[in-house]
Amino acid sequence: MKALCWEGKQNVVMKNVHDPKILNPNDAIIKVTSAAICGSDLHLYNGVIPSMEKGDILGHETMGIVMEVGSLVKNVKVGDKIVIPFDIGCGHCHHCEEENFSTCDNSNPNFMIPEKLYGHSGAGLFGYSHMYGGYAGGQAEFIRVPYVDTNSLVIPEGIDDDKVLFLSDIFPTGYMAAENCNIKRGDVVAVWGAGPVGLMAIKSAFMLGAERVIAIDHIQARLDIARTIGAETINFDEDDAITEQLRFLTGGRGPDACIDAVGLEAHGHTVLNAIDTVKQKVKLGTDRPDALRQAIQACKKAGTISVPGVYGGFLDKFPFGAAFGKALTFKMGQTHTQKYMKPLLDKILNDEVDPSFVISHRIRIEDGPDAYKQFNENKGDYTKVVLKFH
Amino acid sequence: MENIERNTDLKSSRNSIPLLDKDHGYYASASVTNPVEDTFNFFQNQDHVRKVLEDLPEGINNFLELQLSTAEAVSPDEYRVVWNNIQKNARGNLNFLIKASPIKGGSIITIEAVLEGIKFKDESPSTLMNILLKRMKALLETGVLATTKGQPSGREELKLH
Repeated sequence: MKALCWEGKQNVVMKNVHDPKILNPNDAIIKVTSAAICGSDLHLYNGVIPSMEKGDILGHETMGIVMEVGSLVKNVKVGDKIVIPFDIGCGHCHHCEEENFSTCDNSNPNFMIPEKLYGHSGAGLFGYSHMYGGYAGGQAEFIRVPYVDTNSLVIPEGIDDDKVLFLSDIFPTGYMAAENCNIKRGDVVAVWGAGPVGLMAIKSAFMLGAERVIAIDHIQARLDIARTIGAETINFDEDDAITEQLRFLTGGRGPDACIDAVGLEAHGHTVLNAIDTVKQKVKLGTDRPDALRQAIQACKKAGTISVPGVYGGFLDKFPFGAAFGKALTFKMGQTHTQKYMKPLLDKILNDEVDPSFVISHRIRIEDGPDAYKQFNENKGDYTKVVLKFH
Repeated sequence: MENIERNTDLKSSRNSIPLLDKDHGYYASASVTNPVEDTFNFFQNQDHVRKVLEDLPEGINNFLELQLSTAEAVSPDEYRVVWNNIQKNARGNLNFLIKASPIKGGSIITIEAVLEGIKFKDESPSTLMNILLKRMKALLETGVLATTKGQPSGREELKLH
């Protein structure tokens, strides 16, 4: 089969590789119909997520048709069209029983690596480094899905892939980020990053009752999309006094909740971000957390910081004193995707939301390597790239 | 006799924090969602133990060749399973104490594992214990061991003719 493989920093190659096969009796093999390139794939592309190996198959936003199931599979059958969550839950451990699927105890065969780094291991993830299990991803013609009874959402016939594909990651991720803000009527929510997750967070914040949402980015094309879904916008290339602007826009109080949908590769004009950038380049630092610093500074006293953006290592110059002094609440982490897929599918089927508005490009897998390059270098034009198969 | 004495140590450790003591034994613990009786039965099953040993990282599994020694109820809420290591160069015991501890609205099932009497030159016994117990837990809870062995990758690119 054809698959997009990580071959090193800023080097993605389409290769012909073996088809996947059933390895455990609760696996299924899926013929991929659509797969997306995620903003977090660019962290892999740029080499800032550790434990990638040359030849790893990328992709964690995937859907397709069930071709084969193992002997223990109960909930899906051959011919079903399913969306696959990016995180892999076993469905049986304490954390999965509590619907905290991204912290599954059992799905990461390489749990020893994050245990050493983080104290405990999270779930395995598709196509997202060996620290997260080393599972082959879905930017390929076929994918093996372990524990498929837990890691699938069967889609009714006749629904266009584009409408439901993002149930695999960015829609639940944006929704959980907004839900973590504990939004009350009249709340103002600020969202750093108007990429796909940020846009989904904006949409979700309004769905959950936010009065106003303010999007912060420096790519005008993305801010323009944010405006079309109701957000006010701040372009920090035009004015980087973000905290002051947010204070002004909120009657001096600051946003009730701040969402960091940027993660470990923040851009910006601050001195600290310049230091972060240099340290990351020379491997003296892991993460560039300037969006998070700004969110902490800007947030209302006793407000909430919600972090769907990916972080991987250690944060330098992290203003924890400000967070403590302002009595902030932090909520974060990989999304418990399985928990949100069905209720959000219902919202799509009820025409309450159509996540396909983020798609900018539909391409063939052969064009995948160039799409990675373009997505990384030209975020204005490339909002969301979807690979179409079969 | 050695095992019974160690078991006493384990029981007494419930009210104190067990220390990692190279002369005494190596501890690991895990909690599972299965009922205590199922867990007890699982931990004395040769097939399950063999499957987990086969899955251990190369090098580590060379140190263990286990034979069931004891499987008994210590109390209605506490069970003990002891496997003797019969591997020539690394004899000793692997002890599992399976406990149902009451909590509000139910009970929590924990497994304390102690590896004792086995000396390793190069391998970390605490690493081994942790990996072994986590694999046992995964097999018990899900019926399978998470794996990627045999999956495709670009490291084995096919040549098209």
